[in-house]
Amino acid sequence: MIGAVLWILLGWFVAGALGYLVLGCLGVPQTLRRSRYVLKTSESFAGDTAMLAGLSLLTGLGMTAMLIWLRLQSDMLMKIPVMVLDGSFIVMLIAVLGLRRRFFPVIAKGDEQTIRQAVASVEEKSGVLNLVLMLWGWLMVALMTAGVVMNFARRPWGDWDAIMIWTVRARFINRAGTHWADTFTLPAIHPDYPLLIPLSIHRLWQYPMVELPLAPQLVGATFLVSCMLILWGTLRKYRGSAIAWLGLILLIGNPFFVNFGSLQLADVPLAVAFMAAWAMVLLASHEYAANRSSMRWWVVAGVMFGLTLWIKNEGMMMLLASGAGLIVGWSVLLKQDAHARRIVQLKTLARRMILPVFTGFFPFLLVWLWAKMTLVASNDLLRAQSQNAQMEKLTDVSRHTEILRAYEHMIAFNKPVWCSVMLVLLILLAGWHVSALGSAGRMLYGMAIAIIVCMLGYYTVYLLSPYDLAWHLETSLSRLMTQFWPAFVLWAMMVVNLSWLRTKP
Amino acid sequence: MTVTEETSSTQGQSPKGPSPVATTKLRRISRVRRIRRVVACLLLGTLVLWPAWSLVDFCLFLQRYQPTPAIVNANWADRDQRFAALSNYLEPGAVVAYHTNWPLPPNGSMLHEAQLAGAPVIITDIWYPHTNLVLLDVADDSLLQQAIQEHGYELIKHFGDGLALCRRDNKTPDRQRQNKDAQPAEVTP
Repeated sequence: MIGAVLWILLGWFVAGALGYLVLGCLGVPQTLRRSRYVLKTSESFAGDTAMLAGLSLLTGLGMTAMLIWLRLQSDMLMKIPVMVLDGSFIVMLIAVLGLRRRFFPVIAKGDEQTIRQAVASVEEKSGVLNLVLMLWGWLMVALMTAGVVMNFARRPWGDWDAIMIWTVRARFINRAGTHWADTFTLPAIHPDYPLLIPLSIHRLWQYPMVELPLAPQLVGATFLVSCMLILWGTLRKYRGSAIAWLGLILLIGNPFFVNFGSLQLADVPLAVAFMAAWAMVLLASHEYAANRSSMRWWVVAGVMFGLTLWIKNEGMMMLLASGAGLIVGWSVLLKQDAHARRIVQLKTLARRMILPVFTGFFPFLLVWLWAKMTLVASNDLLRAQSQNAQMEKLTDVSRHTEILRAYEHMIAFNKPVWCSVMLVLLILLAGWHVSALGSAGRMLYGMAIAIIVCMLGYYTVYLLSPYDLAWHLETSLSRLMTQFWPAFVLWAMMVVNLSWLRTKP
Repeated sequence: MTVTEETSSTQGQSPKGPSPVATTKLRRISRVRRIRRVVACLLLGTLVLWPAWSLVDFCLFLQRYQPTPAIVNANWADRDQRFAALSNYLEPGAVVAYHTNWPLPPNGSMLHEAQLAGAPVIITDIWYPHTNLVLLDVADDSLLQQAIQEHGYELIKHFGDGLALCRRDNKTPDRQRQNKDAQPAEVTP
């Protein structure tokens, strides 16, 4: 038993290491070091490390799931143990990293000395408020951990959705061997849903060859922890320690977020990928405006957008909404170069932003399309509804009323929604800080648009739902709203002006 | 716009110093700003304290209303053991309809848990029309024969512990009732 647990933990660690190496090949850790020390900015070491750890875990899960998908497609690869496959991939990445360092060094020779000398000059001194918030934050993290552990112990396989949609499919793949695709036939298990989570669980089970509930629990916990690290790291970088802790406290203070995450529902992983993608967009915009190379950050943003597609079907809606948000954000960003000609601006946009985002996104799109074409099947929400029936539903006033009533009920009784309202009130009373954050601040308009468009999209899905509307709303509305929680907290904490509390900037 | 920006933009100062009108305006803005800050501080305090209450409440809920880990683990171990025989007996992807007389457990439905334990056999609900195989799951073997006779099934394989694989046809009472009750579905597969 202990041996199996250790094997699963090793599998998890290998995924994180793979993610780190992929980011290393993109030059992400090196760039963070350079921007921190060589350029003598005040961006923090702790924030960067947290962000890097979170991104490594997410990227690692995404990449290893893709690797497992390739393994499932070939009888020859199926004979190779997953561990060997992971090991080969690690060796390949280390080789690429070595070549990259040899031929495309991010840090020039001689900079190392500068780095060491500059360390002392960039460390921030923490105030009493920072200290109080930090201690309070750690207390909240301890409480959250207690809740998560209790949920894992009392519901080891998670909630119904986790069992029927994610873990069962992992078991089908794990137990059916080469016949795994034959088991993806019934609508009850949603065979059209993307495969990141089932494949990640299956991969962890392949290490000890025992199906322990630790594997799905670890996948769920990884997304929770990554979310905390990326949110805290991003806020630490831009808004200082106090607001970073405040954001973290608010994030984990939402019991729906903690509960759904520890019940292994896919809504939390989706929420994390969405938030991480926008955090990277903000970072890339910041680097672009500072005339530093932003391309690798756009690639990482593309990877995170790819994860939204590879986690859950709702990721498609998030991608569409993010597309709208990015168009707005990019147009605001390019307006800065008012002296440049329009055609030059568009070329810059295509070459330095759109292309890198698509580069990061493309592998996930490819695998997603591959799975859609080989496995199934249309989505249960969309199939077999005539256009007339859809138009009738769109214009049916009673459906609009029912959905709005459900929203009203949620606002009245859902405490995290109260918290969101309070956050908006706080922003209105304390003021907002968009212009002080430069380009990253202007990108926040795009982020707000993405969240709003996505919410409107979900509203339309409810209108067109083939299921009993009351049942559909009751069983999914709180989960869908939780999908926006991390991104909303990040947005609110980036926007709110608490300079009167002597926070950065 | 920040509070500071708003204040500075509305300050009207003459070279000799602020006029009485400007001073009054300035005081009013200052008072409004103070009130706004007090309310903002209260909101901020609530937002910082709220997670403590919500997380403690969440932990207490789990403590009070969820079964203990010992019970849960014993149930899962028992279920895995019972359904292992079914998984070994049928081909991966075989479809069986699930029929049980067990009461629902406090968390999770019997069907979902049976499906997890019985994978890679596909276990659907009893109303699924495209299979004649029924997985009968009753409390113990003494109730099995009675359930088979009651529903008109034909026994194929008895796995023990109240679990059996049966065959049904369109003449069984349950199937006739299903056909009669069948409603035209809004969503066709």
